[in-house]
Formats: sequence, C-alpha cells, structure tokens
Amino acid sequence: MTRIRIGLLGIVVLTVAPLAAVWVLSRPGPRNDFTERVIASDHATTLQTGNGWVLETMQQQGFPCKRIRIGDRATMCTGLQNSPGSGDTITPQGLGHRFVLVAIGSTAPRTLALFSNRSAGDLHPMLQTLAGTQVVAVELQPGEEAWGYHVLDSKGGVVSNQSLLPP
Amino acid sequence: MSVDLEERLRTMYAAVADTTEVREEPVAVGDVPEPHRSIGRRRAVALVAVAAVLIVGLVVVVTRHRSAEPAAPLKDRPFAVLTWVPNGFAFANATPDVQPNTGLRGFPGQPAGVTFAEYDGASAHRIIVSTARSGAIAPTPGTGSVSLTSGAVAQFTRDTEFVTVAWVQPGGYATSIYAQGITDDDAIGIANGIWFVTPPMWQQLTAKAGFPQLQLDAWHPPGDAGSSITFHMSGSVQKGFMLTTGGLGFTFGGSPMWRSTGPKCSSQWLGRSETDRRVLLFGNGTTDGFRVTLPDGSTRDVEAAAPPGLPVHIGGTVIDAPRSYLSGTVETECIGGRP
Repeated sequence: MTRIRIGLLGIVVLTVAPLAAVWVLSRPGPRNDFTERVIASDHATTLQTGNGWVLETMQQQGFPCKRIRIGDRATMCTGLQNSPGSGDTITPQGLGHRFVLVAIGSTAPRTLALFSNRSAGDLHPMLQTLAGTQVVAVELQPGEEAWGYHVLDSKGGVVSNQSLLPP
Repeated sequence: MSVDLEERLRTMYAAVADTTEVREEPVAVGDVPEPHRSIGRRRAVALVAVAAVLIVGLVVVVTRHRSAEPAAPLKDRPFAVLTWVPNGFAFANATPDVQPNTGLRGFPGQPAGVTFAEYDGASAHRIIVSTARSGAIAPTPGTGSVSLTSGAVAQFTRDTEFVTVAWVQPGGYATSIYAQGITDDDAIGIANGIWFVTPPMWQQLTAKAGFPQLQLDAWHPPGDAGSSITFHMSGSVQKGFMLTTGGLGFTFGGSPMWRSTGPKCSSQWLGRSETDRRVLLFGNGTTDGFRVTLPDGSTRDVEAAAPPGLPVHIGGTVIDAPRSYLSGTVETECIGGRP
C-alpha cells in the first residue's frame, strides 16, 4: 500500500512539475516602457538628471515631446503642449526604475507635492520648457506606492489635485 | 516539451511502475465488513453534500434578499467631510480619532470628543472643519446668523482674516468651519455641504492621504420609485464628494441651489424613456415630504428622507407622463419645509 502511495505521489509530482514550469515560464515579465532605441542625432535637450536616467525634451515630427532615457533606451516621446492649467501624468517603469512624470501647462512657477507611503507631500520644483508646459519626473523608491499629487502655485495654492491610485 | 524531458519522464514513469506492487491488505478482525463501511461512507458523503448545498443555497438567498446595511444614524457620525472643496484648496491633515477635551472654534469652553480635518490653500490659508459631542453646548453668538440647509441656525463671524460658522447639527454634533482665504458665501456653501461619517468610514476615507476614490453609504430614497434607486457618496477626501445614482451626480455645498436660505425644492428626471419615468425630488433638511403636480393637474404626496449623514431630503416617484411632459421639470412643493 505504501509503495502504491509513493508511486502515485511520484506520478503526481512528475506530472505537475513540468506543467508548473511551463506556467512560470509563460507568465509575462515585468513591464518595460523603455523600449525606444535612442538615436545619437536626435537633438534632445536634457531637462532633469537622476540616478542613471535623464528627462529629455525634443521635437518629433515638428511637435515638442518629453521622454525619460536610461542609457540607450527611452520611453516613447509623449506630447508636451498642455493648455494652461491642464495636466497629464504617466508612470513609466522598466530597467529597474519606476517614475511619476507630471506635466502641466503653465508659464508661472509650479511645484509638485507627491504623496506616497514614503512621502508626505515632498516638494519637487517643476521645470519650464519652451513649449509653455512644465514637467518633472520623480523616481519612486523600491516598495514606494504613489498615492497622488498636488501641483502648487508659488503661494502654495493647489492648481491640480490628482490621485495615482487605481479606481 | 523537449524530446530529452519527454524521454526522461518516460524512464521515470517506467521506474515508478516497476517498483510499484499491488497487494490486497488483509481485513483485520473486528473491522466492519467492506460493503457496510462503503455504504456508511457514502451516506456520510451524501449528507455532507446535501448540507453543503443547503448552506450554499441559504447564503445565496440571504445575500440576494438582504437589503443594504442600515446606515449609521447621525449621532454615530462624529467626523465631518467637505463634499465641496473650494478651488485652490486640498485635504492636508486630520485627526485620526476623536480627541478628548480640546477647543472648538465658535463654541465656548473645551467641548469633549473633538475631531477636525484641515484643507490647505494658497498663502498658508486653510479651512478647518471640526466637530464635538454636542451635549448642551450652543455656539457663541456671532456677528450674524444664517440658516443652513439642514435647518440648523449657524452663528457667523467674520473678522479681517478669518470666518467662523458654528452650529449644532440637528440630531448630531456641534460643528464649526474656521477658514481663511475664502469668501463668506464659500464658508456657508461649505457648511451646507458637510457629510458626516462614522469612525470606520473616516479611517477608510483618510487612508493614503485622502486620495482613494471611494463609493460609500448606499441608500434608497423613500417613495414608490425609491427601491429601484440607489444613491452613493462618490469621490475622495482630496477632491470632494457627490451624491450619485444612475450616472447622475448631485453636489450640495458648491451648488447655488443650496447657498441661499429659504425653501428649496427641486426635481430631476432620472429616467426619460417609455419604460422609465422616475423622478427624484430634493428638499432641504426640514422637508417632511413633497407634493408633486401630475400632468392631469392632480397632486401626489411623496415621502422624504435624508441620505446618511447629509443635510438634504430626497424622495423618488414614478410619473406616468406623456413624452412632451418629460422635457420640463416636475412641479414640486416641499411639505413641512421652512416657510
């Protein structure tokens, strides 16, 4: 009886193990938004430099755009022409980095206050571009969960208030 | 699967088969004979299966027919949330729990059981909404008074910089708005749009710096259409809340309708199709019911009740109206409202 049980256990293990291996291998890997190969002659302007990454602006098909570059890889270059007061947010990740990238249409000084499980409204000055839109990238720490942000005017008034939590 | 792996599996299965021996086990003396044991086991299994089916069925029936949890009454809602947050302000800080014996702006002494939430704006301006157990306290007389949507009369004080609105919410808590950097109208608008919540709801709302978008306080209004209408409070502490149902959202504090004093009655078609002619009726906190004028000129009385923690009263009815009637509003009169 014991031999039968061991035998059956062996069969189960030998059947399940390969299936589990196939399942593990077929799972999608971590998201990588840094899929664009950077061409040396694209005349990008560095706006912000971080730990191994840069925030760049450039012209693409005649329109200004922004991207984050890590080495020879970058995110897709997304639009940089926000109308006054209107903002947009993207959260690129990949190559071991995660970011919150915020843009808002304004020529007056703006500051980002980020709220997360590591940050109680830490301030990040936004950077003016020639397109009349301000941007800033904040790199999230490992294990950091971004909850939301305020964009503040020079007096601390809230110009924009966005949640980064899933609905 | 690769050929190597398949070959290895075949070899291992063969090895397992070779080492497997099938042998009958002797029946021990005193053992129940096999057929009886089998029948007993089958009965047990059948009983367990029947019990499981019954339990699952019971759970389904109870879940389907259970009405929404009864909402906590106002006396169990010591925390005040702004449904309307003025432009330039955002939720910044709040007491995590009820505080003992601290001051409450606009009230004398040091009332017990104080809560507060702070919203910050430009130039260090702020709006602080506070509550305390009301007991026998009354607000300190202000420079003026104002009637709120709830029916409470608030004491209003404005100095060069700060405005204070203080009142005792009927059936609820002593409440005050203490603000800097907003107009008098805004202060009254905020006071008219307070949503009172329970401590567990407060924990949920203020988690993650108030950014979670939530839907709370499911509620059905009274009236013949009420059971088919479910309201929720939807939004976040950061941005404010709306009372929502069927794709419609209603605001209070920021809405001009609730800013002026005096009777406020309004109606809103919820459905405008051949099969859906439901109408929502709104009144202020002193409204006991609504009198609706039907297309044939007759009237119908509809009961009113307050959504949990809010100062307004709502009812729902179905009006069998011709298509032409649907483009206008329904003539509605508040019964028992302020004159």
